[in-house]
Amino acid sequence: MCSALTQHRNRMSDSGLLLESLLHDRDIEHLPPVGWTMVNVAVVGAGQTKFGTHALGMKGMWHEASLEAISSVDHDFSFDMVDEAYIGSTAFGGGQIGNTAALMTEHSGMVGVPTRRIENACASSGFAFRDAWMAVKSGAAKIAIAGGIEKMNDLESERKRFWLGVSGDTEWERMAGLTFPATYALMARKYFHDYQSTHDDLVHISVKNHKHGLYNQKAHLQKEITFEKAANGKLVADPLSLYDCCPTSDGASCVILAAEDVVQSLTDTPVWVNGSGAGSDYLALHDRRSITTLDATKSAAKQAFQASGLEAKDIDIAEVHDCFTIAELLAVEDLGFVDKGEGGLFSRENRGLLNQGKLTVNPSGGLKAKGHPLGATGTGQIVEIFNQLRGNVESQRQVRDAEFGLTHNVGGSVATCAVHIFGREII
Amino acid sequence: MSGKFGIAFQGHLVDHFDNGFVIYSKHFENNTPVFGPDVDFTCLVASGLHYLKAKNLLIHTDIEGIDTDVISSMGFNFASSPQLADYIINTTMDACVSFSPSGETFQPSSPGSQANIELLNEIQQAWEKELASVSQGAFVSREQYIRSLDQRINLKAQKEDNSSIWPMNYHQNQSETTQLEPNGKIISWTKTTAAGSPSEFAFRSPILGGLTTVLIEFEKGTIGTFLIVDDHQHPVSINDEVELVIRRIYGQDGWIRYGLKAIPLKE
Repeated sequence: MCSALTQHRNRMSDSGLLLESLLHDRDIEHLPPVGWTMVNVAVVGAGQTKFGTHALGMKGMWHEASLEAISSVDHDFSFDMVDEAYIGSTAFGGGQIGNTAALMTEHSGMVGVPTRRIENACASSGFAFRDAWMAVKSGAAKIAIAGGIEKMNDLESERKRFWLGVSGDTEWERMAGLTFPATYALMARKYFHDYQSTHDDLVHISVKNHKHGLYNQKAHLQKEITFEKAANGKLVADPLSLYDCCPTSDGASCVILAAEDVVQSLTDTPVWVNGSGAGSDYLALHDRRSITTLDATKSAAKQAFQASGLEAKDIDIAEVHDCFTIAELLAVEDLGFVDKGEGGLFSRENRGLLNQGKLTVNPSGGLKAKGHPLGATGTGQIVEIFNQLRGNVESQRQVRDAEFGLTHNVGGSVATCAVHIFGREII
Repeated sequence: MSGKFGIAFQGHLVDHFDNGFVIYSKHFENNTPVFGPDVDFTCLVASGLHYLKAKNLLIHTDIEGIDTDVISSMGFNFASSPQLADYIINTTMDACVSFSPSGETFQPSSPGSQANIELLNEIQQAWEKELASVSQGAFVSREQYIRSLDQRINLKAQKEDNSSIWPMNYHQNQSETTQLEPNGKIISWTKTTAAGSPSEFAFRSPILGGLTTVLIEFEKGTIGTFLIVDDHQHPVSINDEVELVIRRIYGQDGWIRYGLKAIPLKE
């Protein structure tokens, strides 16, 4: 263990006190309190299971993902060096709602580490990562892990249907017949009407993401689809068809964050967290200012870009939350990669395709092809950016010369959103 | 007998007489009304009370299975005996309800459209399965449902300077309330297949060929989410005008949730 880390451990042990970890950065013009030392934070390890229908249960999947994360740390590392653990999960199916995190950390040799489950629907582990980042950034922890876990495909179909859509407004949306395909279908219909877009724009997204997912050994759906097939899919919620919807997946993901003064002892190739942002909105669509501009994404993106000093045009890779194809189209606009109303054109011109232009969108295959194990998705996106920036993904889908990557993880119909920006250098 | 017959009202038919009226389903089999796919006596009684355009009346009924919480939420109280009631609500056949101060009953005079009995029977069986189902995930409890009835049935909203907030928000001023008019225009819509519907609707959705959900913009811009009534099978479009009426929403844990559904005014 490095000397800085040892000192840190001694300090923690002696005082038994944690530094204040609440970091108000919604308005980043706020200065930190006097005496507050904020440190740079890097991701030093990351791993995940294959997403899909997994033979392993929750414990086994978490063990596998955390083991891969440990293995990816270049130098000596073990989980007894972890100060805090944040694990995202919706506890889908209700099999282990209470103390999910303690059960998971138990199976990766982290008994004794302060741990908790973070629940923010599909953005659970995006927010778990943000909380872990805050802990390290504030100095309260030297090393933290953030991860996610979801087991969706071992439920009987009836129970599964009851759990799908539990993150919408049960009282007013679900009682009006909405699950998430239908919620996003309402957004798509309105977008088509207001911006002269058509379903073809969504088909391009589906085809692109399947193309990317083909070579991702961790993807749920490793298969290409043709435009014709995607355009003529069976309707799920008009205008969205089967090929507009991500699959329901099992999976786990785990990333390891470290403070700058211990990073060098752990890795030669850190991936720095250059910016973090998060936002929220009304839960139900009918309460929102707009259903085609998603304020939670805009707010989260603004914070993350301001914190990093970067602009959208600097980003080389974006892992965006394409639970439905329309969600990617709107994200590309709301993250600032194109102007409002130009998401359809961006899609038609295949500008997000691997190495076609400056920006590659969802080189992992996105939720559409890589899969969507709800609570594991957010840190799964970070695993992808970590590996892309270190040049460690399959060569067929490696983004060339990437310096900066962005993750965009949303909960439900974007009632919550976490955006993170990563780079190979501290900026 | 003189009167007005076959008046279309909230997706039903009304015959109006000097001494009362009868409200009945527009679906008929052999000259007898039959319940539509999401209508029962509670829905007919609620629509009849809307037709009265009165509030705070004492009513009396012996019709079994009426959801008294829904009717009470509309501002009507149940009299303990017919003699004390302003209106007596009676039925002599399925899908037909008479309203009169004296308790007189009326027969429907205007045969509506021929019902698809096979479909309605299938729907009825689906309702029975739905009612017997128990939630294994998200659900709305009876207490939660009753707490929201004033908003759900009467569109009670919070009043703002130039708009209204519906459903109500605890963060906003609760003291000034208003009631939205039950009509608006569609600003977006989707039709879900069985795969896209919540589990609560899983039995009926395939029989109906899917369910249509719309976002409605009320006057002054307030927006709400509603199902289209189950017997409206035509496509809808953005900007279509709709009227909101009381229908069955779904059944679970042995009881029916009622609420407002939209009827497009353009066929």
